[in-house]
Amino acid sequence: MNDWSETEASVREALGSTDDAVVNRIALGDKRGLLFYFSSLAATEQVAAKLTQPLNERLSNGNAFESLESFRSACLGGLPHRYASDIGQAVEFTLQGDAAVVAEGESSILVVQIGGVPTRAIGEPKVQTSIFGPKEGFVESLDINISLVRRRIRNANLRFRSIRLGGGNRAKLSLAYMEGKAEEESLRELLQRVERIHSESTFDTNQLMQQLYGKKKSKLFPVMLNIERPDAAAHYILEGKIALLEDGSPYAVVAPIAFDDFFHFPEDRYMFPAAAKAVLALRYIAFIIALLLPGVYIGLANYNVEILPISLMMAIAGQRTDAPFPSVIELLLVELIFELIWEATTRMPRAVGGALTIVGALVIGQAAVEAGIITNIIIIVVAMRAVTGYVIPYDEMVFLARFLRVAFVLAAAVFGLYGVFLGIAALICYVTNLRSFHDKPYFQSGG
Amino acid sequence: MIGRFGRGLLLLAACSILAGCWDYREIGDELIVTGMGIAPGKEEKYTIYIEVATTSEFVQNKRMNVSKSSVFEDDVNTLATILYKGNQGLPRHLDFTHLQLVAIDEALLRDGDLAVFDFLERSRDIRNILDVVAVKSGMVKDVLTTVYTDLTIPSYRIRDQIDQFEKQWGGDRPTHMQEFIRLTSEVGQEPVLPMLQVKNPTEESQTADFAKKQEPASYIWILGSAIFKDGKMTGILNAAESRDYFATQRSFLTTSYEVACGDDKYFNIFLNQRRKRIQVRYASGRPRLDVHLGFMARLDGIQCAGLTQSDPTTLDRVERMAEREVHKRVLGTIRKLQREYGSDIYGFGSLLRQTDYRWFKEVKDRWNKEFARADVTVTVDIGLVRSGVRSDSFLDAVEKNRKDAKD
Repeated sequence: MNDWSETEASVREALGSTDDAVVNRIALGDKRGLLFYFSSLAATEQVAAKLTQPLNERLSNGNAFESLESFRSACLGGLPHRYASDIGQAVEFTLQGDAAVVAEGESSILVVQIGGVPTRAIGEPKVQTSIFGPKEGFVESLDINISLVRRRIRNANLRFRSIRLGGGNRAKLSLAYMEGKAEEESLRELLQRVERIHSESTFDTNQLMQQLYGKKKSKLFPVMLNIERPDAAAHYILEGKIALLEDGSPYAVVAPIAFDDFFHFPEDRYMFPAAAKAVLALRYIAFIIALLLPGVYIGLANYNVEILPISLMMAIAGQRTDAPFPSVIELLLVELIFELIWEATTRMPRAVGGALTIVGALVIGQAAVEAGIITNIIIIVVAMRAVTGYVIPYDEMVFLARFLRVAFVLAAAVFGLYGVFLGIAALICYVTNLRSFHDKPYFQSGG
Repeated sequence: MIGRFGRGLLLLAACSILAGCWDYREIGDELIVTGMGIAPGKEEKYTIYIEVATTSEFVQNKRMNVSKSSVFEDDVNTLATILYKGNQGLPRHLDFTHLQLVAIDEALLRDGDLAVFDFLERSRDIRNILDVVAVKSGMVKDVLTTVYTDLTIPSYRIRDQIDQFEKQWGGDRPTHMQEFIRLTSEVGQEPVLPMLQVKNPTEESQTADFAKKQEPASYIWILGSAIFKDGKMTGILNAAESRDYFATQRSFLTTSYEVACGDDKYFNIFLNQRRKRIQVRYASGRPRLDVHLGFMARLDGIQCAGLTQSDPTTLDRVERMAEREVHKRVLGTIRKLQREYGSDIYGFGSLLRQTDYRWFKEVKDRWNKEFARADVTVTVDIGLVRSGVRSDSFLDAVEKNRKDAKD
C-alpha cells in the first residue's frame, strides 16, 4: 500500500456506489486511516461507541498510534475481531455487519464485529406451539438464535460452525452440533449436501431443506425437520443430531430424522410420562386416519359393504340415496374444495379471514349438503381426516399424508379394500427400505 | 422425469379409467335386504318374501316417517333366482350381505325341505351367522310385515326379541344357520329353531299408522322351539318347556319359575345357573343320562304366609319346593322328548361321542331310539341367596291379624 489515495479508491470501488456504504477518513495520530462499514448492517451509534470513541479517547490522552493491533489490544480488548488480508475480504466481512479500519502503512485490515441492527424481539413460537415448556421461539437473527441454543446447552462441546452459501444472497448458515456426539458421517454428508447447493437464493430453512434434498427430492418421506422451538432444537442436538440455523429464518433444520421422530416430540418430556405415551398413541392413530380414512371409506362404500355393521350401512346408504356423484368423485371434489379453502386461508389477508371461513362453512357444510349435491358422510370423512392431519405439527408429514391419501383413494376406487391393503403393503416395503443419512434405516426406532 | 411413485400413481389412474371395476357398486343405489321369508309356493315351489330396508328412514334429514321396510313377494322354484330376478319387481340392485333373518314356514320344515339352506350356505354374500326362525304355517308374511310401534324393521325386532327372551327368561335362543346346518348333518344332537307366530294378524298392523294406536292388536309372539328329528320338524315345545330344555343347555342361564306353595298360591323364584353337569353312560346295556343342575336363587314374590320368616328352616323349605318344581319340569320335558318325539335335542349323543367313542359308534345309527329308552335322573340344587329387601312378608302380619280377629 504505497499510494494511500489508491487504497482509498479501491475501498470505494469494492463497496460500490450504494447509499448505505459508509467510508470515513479518520486520523490515527499522525497516520491516515479509513473506516468503512454498511450502515444498514452495523448501527452507526454502535460504531461510534465501540470504535471511534475509544480511538479518540486514546489519542486525546496523548498516546501515539503505533499499530492497529496495539490500538485494538489496548482499547478494544473484549470485542470480537479479525484481520482481513485484503480489501476484498474486508468488504466481505462488512457485509456481515462488521466495521473495518485500514491504517496507512499496514497491510492487514482490522475488522470489528458491530451488529446492533434492530431485529424482531424473541416471541412465542407461532406454528409449533406447546402447552408446556419454554415459550421462546427462534427469530430471524442468527446471533440471537445461536444464543437461544447456547443458553440451553451450556456445554463446551457445543459447536457452531458458520457456513456461507454461494449464490446471489450469500446466505449465512450456522451448523450446530455436539462434538463427540454427532456422528461424523452424518456431519460429513450434511456438509457435502450444503456444498452441493447451487442456488441463486436461499432465504429460509424450508427452502434450504428442499435444496439439501437436492436430487433426492423424489424421496417421499422427509428425513429432516424444521424446528421453531430452541428447546426442541437443543434436545435434538444433545441427542447427537445436527441443527442448521440460517440468518433470516426463524426455524432450524434438524437432521438426520427417522420416521418416529415425527411422532415423539421433545415437548413430551415436560409431561407426565403416561400421558405422553397416551398422546403418542393418539398421534399414530391420527396419522393412520389421516392417511387411510378416505381410502377405507371408498373401499367400504363401493366394494366391501359386507364388512359394515348393519346400522352403519343403513346410515351411509340412507345418506347416499339419490346422490348425484359417485362416491369417489364426490370425495375428491370435497377434498379439492377443502384444500382450496385451506390454501386460501393461509394466504389471505387477516382482515378477510372471517368472510372466507363463513363462505367455506356455509357453502360446503350446509348449502351443498342441503342442495343434495354432496352428502354429509363425505363431509364427515374429509373433516375427520383434516382434523387428524393437524395433530402432527410438522408440515412435512402432513404434506406426505395429503399426497399419499390420494393414492389410497385411487387404489380403493379400483380394487376396494384389497387395494388399500396392497397400498399399505407397498408403503411398508418402501419405508423399510428407505435410508435417511448415510444408510441409517429410516424406520428404525429412536433413529 | 417422473419417479417410480409417479409411475405407480399413473398406473392406478389408468386402472381406474380402463378397468371395469366389476365389483364396484354405489352403496346408495343398493336395496339392502334385511330379512327373507320362505313359504310353500302357490304357483311355483316356493313363495319368497324379501324384506327391504327403506334406508332414507334412517337418516334424519331424509326421514318421511313411513315404514322402515317393505316386503316384496315372488314365486320361484329355486331360491337363487331371486338374486337375479328380483328386479322384476324392485327398482335397484338387491344386496344380501346384510341379511339378518330367515323365516321359514312350518309346513316346509315339517316336509323336511332343507334345500333352501344349501343356497343360503353357498352364497358368498350371505353370512352364515344369520338367524333362522320357524314360523307357524301361513304366517311368514305376517311375521315380516307386522310392525312394532317404533316402526323398527321386523327382522331387527325379531332378533332383539329372541335375544332378550333368552337373556331374561331363557325361553328361547337365537339359532344361527351355521349351527342349524351342523346339527342337522351330525348324529348326536338334533337341532331346534325358535318358533314364531303372529297373534291376531291384521291388515292394519302392516302399515305405519299402526304406530299411532294405543293398543296394538297384533304381536309377534314367540311360541317356543321347533323340534327336529332326522331333518324334519316333528313338533313344538312351548315357551316354558323350551326354558326347561335350555336349562340343560346354557351355562349361566337366568330364568324364573313359578312354584305352587298352597291352594292356588305361588311364589316366584329367580334362578341363576351356576353349575351344570351332564353324564351319559351305559349300564347293563341301557343308556343312563344324569343331569345335575345347580342354581343360585332369589325369592321374588310370595303369596303364601309363613314362608319368609327369618327362621332359616322356612327358607330351606322354599329351596326344597323350588328344587322339586324345577326337577319335575326338567325331567318332564326330557321324558316328553323321549316319549312323544324320540328326538335327542339335548346332545346326549354328542356327549357320548366325546366320552366313549367306541360305544357311540355302536349305537350311532339308532341313537334317537337309544335316547328314547334311556334312564334319566335329574338332580337339582338350589341355594337361596336373597329374598328382596324385606325379610318377613307383610302378608304374615295380615294373616295373623285376621286370625286374631276371628278369635
